[in-house]
Amino acid sequence: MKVGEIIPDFTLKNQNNEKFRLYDIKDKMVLLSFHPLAWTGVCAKQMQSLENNFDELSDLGILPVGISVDSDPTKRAWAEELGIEKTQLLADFCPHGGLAKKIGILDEQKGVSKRVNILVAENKEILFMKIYEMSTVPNLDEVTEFVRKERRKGREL
Amino acid sequence: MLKEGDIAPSFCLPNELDERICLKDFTGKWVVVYFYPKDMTPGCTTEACDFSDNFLEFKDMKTEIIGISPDAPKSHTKFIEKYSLQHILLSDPEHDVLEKFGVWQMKKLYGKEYMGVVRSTFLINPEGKIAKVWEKVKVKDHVEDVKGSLNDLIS
Repeated sequence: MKVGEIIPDFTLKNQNNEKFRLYDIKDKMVLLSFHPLAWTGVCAKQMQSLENNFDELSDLGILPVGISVDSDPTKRAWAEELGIEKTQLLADFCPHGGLAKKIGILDEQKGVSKRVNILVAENKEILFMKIYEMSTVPNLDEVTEFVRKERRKGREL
Repeated sequence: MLKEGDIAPSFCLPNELDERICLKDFTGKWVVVYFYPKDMTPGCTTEACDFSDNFLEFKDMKTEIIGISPDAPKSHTKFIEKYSLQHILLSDPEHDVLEKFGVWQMKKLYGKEYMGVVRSTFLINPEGKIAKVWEKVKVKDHVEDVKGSLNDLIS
């Protein structure tokens, strides 16, 4: 999928075994932050960066969530280990990588998703999408500055 | 200076990226147009940060915020970057729009007279009429005041 397309609805479980449904989020943008695998270094930094910037993102009207192919009990243990309390970590586990596949960012050989930030508008249009190197922690300033810049042009975000 | 009930004059001015933004782009929405003297000065910084911090609340009221000063786009860029502003800032170095709204006036400082911007805010309704004017704005609590008036007008 690419910028300008509408993300179809999906429901995934978070680390607390609660359902997260994209189309239930109506008055916010959603940042889908995909990463390959729990319990690995760069992915941990990526999730901590969501957690550390949770309030700044909220102030801009963005709800960040982390997503990988790991199961929800794995996400729960990992969230506890990382001290993640605000950010939902979603399990794209069953079918394995189903959402990543739909979006076209599943690495089928490795069985994990690529590292990708996708910013979804209130109307579920993809506003921003960037694929990162495996070794790179995505820079959230790219997302926040994108939103501010578009707003300064008068775009309704 | 324009007053309540007047039709807001149409205008197009460059933003910090030199892209033209026009008032008519926002027909059908409420628009707050606030005029301020100069980027980076204390009063203007407080005013800009207050508007930017309240962006989502204005958005919930379907309201666009536009700040206008005589500063060049480059100056706006620095101002925006320093304070991470998220609302529209436009440049009016020739003070055309400032004059149209009647906020470019003779000012006095220490006995010296000069032409400058009288800090003022205009609330424009979705039909393009001026619904409320704040003249000689004091920055403290100004944005709260604008929000309150807007809330009263739309409810």
